[in-house]
Order: sequence, then C-alpha cells, then structure tokens
Amino acid sequence: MNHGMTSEDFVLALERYGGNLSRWPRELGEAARALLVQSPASGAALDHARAFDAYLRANDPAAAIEPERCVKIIRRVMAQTHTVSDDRGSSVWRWRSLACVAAPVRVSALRFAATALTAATLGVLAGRGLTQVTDGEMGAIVANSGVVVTTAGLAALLHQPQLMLAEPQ
Amino acid sequence: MGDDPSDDSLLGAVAAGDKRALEVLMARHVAGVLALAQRMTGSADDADEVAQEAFLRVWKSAYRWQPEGTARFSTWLYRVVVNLCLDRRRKKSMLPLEDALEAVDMAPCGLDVLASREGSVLVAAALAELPPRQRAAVCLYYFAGKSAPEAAQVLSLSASAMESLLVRGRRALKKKLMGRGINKLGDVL
Repeated sequence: MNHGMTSEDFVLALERYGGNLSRWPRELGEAARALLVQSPASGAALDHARAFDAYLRANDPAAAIEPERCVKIIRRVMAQTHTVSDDRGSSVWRWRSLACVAAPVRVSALRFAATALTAATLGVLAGRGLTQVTDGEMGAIVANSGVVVTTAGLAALLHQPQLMLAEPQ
Repeated sequence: MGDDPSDDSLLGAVAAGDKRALEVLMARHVAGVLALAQRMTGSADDADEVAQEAFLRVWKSAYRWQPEGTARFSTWLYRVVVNLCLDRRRKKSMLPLEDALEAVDMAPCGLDVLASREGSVLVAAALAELPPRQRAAVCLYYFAGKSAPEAAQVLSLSASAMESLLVRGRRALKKKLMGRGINKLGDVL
C-alpha cells in the first residue's frame, strides 16, 4: 500500500528534496505518505530531515535584505543606464527590438489614436510621479514586493513603446 | 483587472528602452537577487556588485528575451546571477570561518548578536566550502525556494543531474556543519 516505496527510497528522497513533502514530486510524496503510515523509522527520518531544514532556514546567511540596500542597488543601476545606453545598439537595432515587442499589437487607427493620447497623458503624469519617488517610498515598494507602481502609471509605461512601434507599420 | 504587469510585459518595455519599467522590474526582484548572490559569494559587497551587474545585463539584453518560451524571466535572471557568482568565486577569497567569527562584535550586547549570528556564519562557511555547482543547487532549492525543475533550468541541467547535485550538496552541507562541532544539532544531523 506504499506504492512500492521502501525505507531506503524514502531516505534517499529526503536527501534529494528535503523534509517538506509538499515540495516533492506529487507521486513520490503520495508514496512517502503511504509509507509513513506503517513505518515509524521513516517517521523518525522525516523528523530529522525537517529539523535540519528548519536549522538552515533559521540560519540563512541572507535572511534579511534591507530595503535600503535594495534601493541603493536600484539607484546605482538607474544611474548607469545612461552610460550603457549606447551599447544597446543603433537606432535601427532599437527599432527592430521595438518591432518585436509590438508585433502582436494590432490596433485600429482610431483606437490607436485614442490610446496614444491617453497613454501620453498618463505617461507624463506617471513620469512626473515616478521621478519623484523618494528612497523611503522605494523602500516601501521593495518591502511590499509585487505591488510596485499601480494602474495608470504602469499602463502608460507599458503601452507607450508598443504604440510607438505601431506607427510605422 | 490586474494592476501588476507581468515580468514579460515589463521586459518588453525595457527592451524598448523604458527605464521606468526597468525600475519596476528591479524593485520586484532585487531582494531575491541580492539574497541569492550573498549566499553564493558569502559577501554582501560582492552580492551588491553581482546584483548591479545582473540588472545592467537585463537592461542591455532585454531585447533578446523571448516571452513565448517556457522559461520564466526569473529563471533567466537567476542564471545570470549564478554565472556571475561562479565567475568571481575565487577572485576574492571567502572569509575563513575563524576570521568571520572574530569579526562579530564582542562588546556586551555583541554577545547576543554573536549568539544569533553564529549559526548563519557557520552555514555561510559550510556553503562556501561546497563545490560551486552543489552550492548553487542548495542555494536555489533550499534557500531561494525554487523547485527542483526550476533550479535545474537555472543551472541548465537535466532533472537527474539536478537531483544528484541536491543529494550530494545536502550531504556535504550536513557533514561540514558536523565538522564545525555543532553538537546541539547532533540529533538533527
């Protein structure tokens, strides 16, 4: 009833995937659970593996990355984008890359015009807002990772290049 | 309507030269990148440099990204980070364990700091002694929370090769921690 998993298989899988059975491949995890019902020795091995995992988690050498440090890196990279811009290629190459981005975009002229106007307006607003983000605010952004800049600002950011591309087609 | 754009959408904007999109992409991934680089190199300064270089590569190479592919942006980013860490692994040698422990402040309240930091210093030292690929596998799977298939993608390895690295890495890490005389973990290890 253990789907063929032996105690030896179980110990090897523990060494391979650790003590969190939910991270194991699904079938292996099911076989392990079946084995655990009838094998106290396997249960002890699982406890040991979990304790080791917990020790590693508790002593992670990079457990806390301060938001201020993240902000510092972002600022440094942003400062360097000016100097590496030329490495990104000629204007022709830039147009090619832009074309790749815009390839799936098919908009009617009317929709294009309306969206372009909206995006341009939002882009100006978003640009003004983003350039005024302080270190503290960026720290909060990073700390809440995932929610970075919302709705209008990002929509404008994301649609501007596509619209720029659509024009010459 | 989702407010958060996907990484692929942001990368498309970055490819088109949009610096604000790069800023957003960095804010999303910088903590994970720094953590991975710090575990891999054992040095906060090196980790900062690696993170900086990795994101500059994103800026320069975003136009090459193929969003239709099966790989996720984070896989590509982590691969860049791991490669940068491996490239510089011996440029600046890792701090020996004894020196690292001495570096901890021994002033009165520093004893508490020592107690809380000793474990992470020991783990960092043990990680530093692993062969680079094993270290990368352990860091990605056990610390960065990548699944085994994702970690295999990052390292451009087959699933079986990744599993083998994980087994050897975990065994070696245990052995090295035991070698550090962590008696309180006798039961655990």
